Amino acid sequence: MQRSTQAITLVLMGSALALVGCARQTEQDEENSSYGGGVGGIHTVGRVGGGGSPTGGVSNTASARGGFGATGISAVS
Amino acid sequence: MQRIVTPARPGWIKTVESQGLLFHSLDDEPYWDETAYYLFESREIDALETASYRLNEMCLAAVDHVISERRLAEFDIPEPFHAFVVESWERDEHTIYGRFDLVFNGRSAPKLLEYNADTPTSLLEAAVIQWFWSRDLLETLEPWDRGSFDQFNSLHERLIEAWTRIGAERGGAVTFAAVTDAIEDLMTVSYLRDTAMQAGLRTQTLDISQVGWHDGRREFTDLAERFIPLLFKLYPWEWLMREAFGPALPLASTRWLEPPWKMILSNKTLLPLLYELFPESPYVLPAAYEPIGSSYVMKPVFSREGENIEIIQAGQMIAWTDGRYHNQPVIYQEFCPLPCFDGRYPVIGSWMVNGHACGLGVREGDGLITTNTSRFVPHLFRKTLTSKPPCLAPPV
Repeated sequence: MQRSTQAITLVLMGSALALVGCARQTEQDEENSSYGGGVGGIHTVGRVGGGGSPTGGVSNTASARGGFGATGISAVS
Repeated sequence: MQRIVTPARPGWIKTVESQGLLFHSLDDEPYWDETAYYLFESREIDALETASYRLNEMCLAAVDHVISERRLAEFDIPEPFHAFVVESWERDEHTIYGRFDLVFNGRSAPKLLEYNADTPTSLLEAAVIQWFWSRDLLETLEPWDRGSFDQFNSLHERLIEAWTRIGAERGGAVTFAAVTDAIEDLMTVSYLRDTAMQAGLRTQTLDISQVGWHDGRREFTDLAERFIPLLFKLYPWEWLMREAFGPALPLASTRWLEPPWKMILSNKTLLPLLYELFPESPYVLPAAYEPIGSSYVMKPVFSREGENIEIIQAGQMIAWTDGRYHNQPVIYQEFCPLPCFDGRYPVIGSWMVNGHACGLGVREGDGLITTNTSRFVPHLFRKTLTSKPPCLAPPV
């Protein structure tokens, strides 16, 4: 019985440099791409502070952000 | 099961970095450690595979029990989220992956230490880095010897299968969210995203803090204000529920990976429940809400990376760790010591992907408690007992 992967191709992780490069991609790049499709599309433009409440006081035209992410510095387990 | 010492590949740092592993060292000590590997026999891999399938069945039965008997509060799931969890179970929402951490010495049945069911990491190392290492090592053997060894690791193929199924059933797009400042978290979601892309899904990654909530539309949104229909989060449910957007979780139609019903399995309260439901299982250690005899391990229910663990043997504390989880409820599990190889203590991480037991990762520590400084050591298994374990030639 075959218990090991036959071949591995990586399209995003192919090199550390590619990853760092895509981490620097801007929001505009992503918005133009409609969910990426290439190696881009990671938003690391900084953590969003604050934290809007989902229960009111938020405009109907813009989302509140920063409501997740306050607890941990890493989710590693 | 043996620990085989072998020289690292020349230029290994550059090699693993080229495969995406940027966190290969911690404080100048290798985290990815290829100066040794664990060699299993085929029958040992069979035992680990069988144990993993059986544990998975027991875990699913445990979720069913908790929901049918309305025991969600025992798992620190706040009441406003009970229906959210129940509905995700009743809809049979997909799971991608999970990792059982097992004690195994090659002689006795594997024993479950805990189930990383919600946000398991060390995936890239297990799926990719050790696979390429094995190809390099086996390449040094004579062609007629190469078939005598293999690695229990079809994670990469199984992940692509999982995304293919999800893509077909849930539409063609998935958003990944994680603490992107944390390199290990970013690597993990980037690798998962890689496999989703190979399955044909459209993808994007957000920092978890960038997930938006649109109050008027009652939707979670991306940075372009688009509805997020499917969101993979490398961020624990117990944190999400208690943060500012937590109350919105049950209001939105976003589907989550891992699904809400995984909250039951990622809480160490699972361990006493499994013992309650399956006391005769050879894979389940006795566990309870109070100390067990004079030798036991105390674990906070949401502890991560071996923090705030205490090991008591014959009434004496023999090992303990500090951490951030000292104020949590705890459970107690019978002490089952890790085996010791050359002064190292390996834990077996057995991966479930898309319902398949399909790979191992070994974390090796210098003590009885596996922590974030424990090294990832690759493995092989031997199909023929007489085959000599391969080693690289020492550097000239």
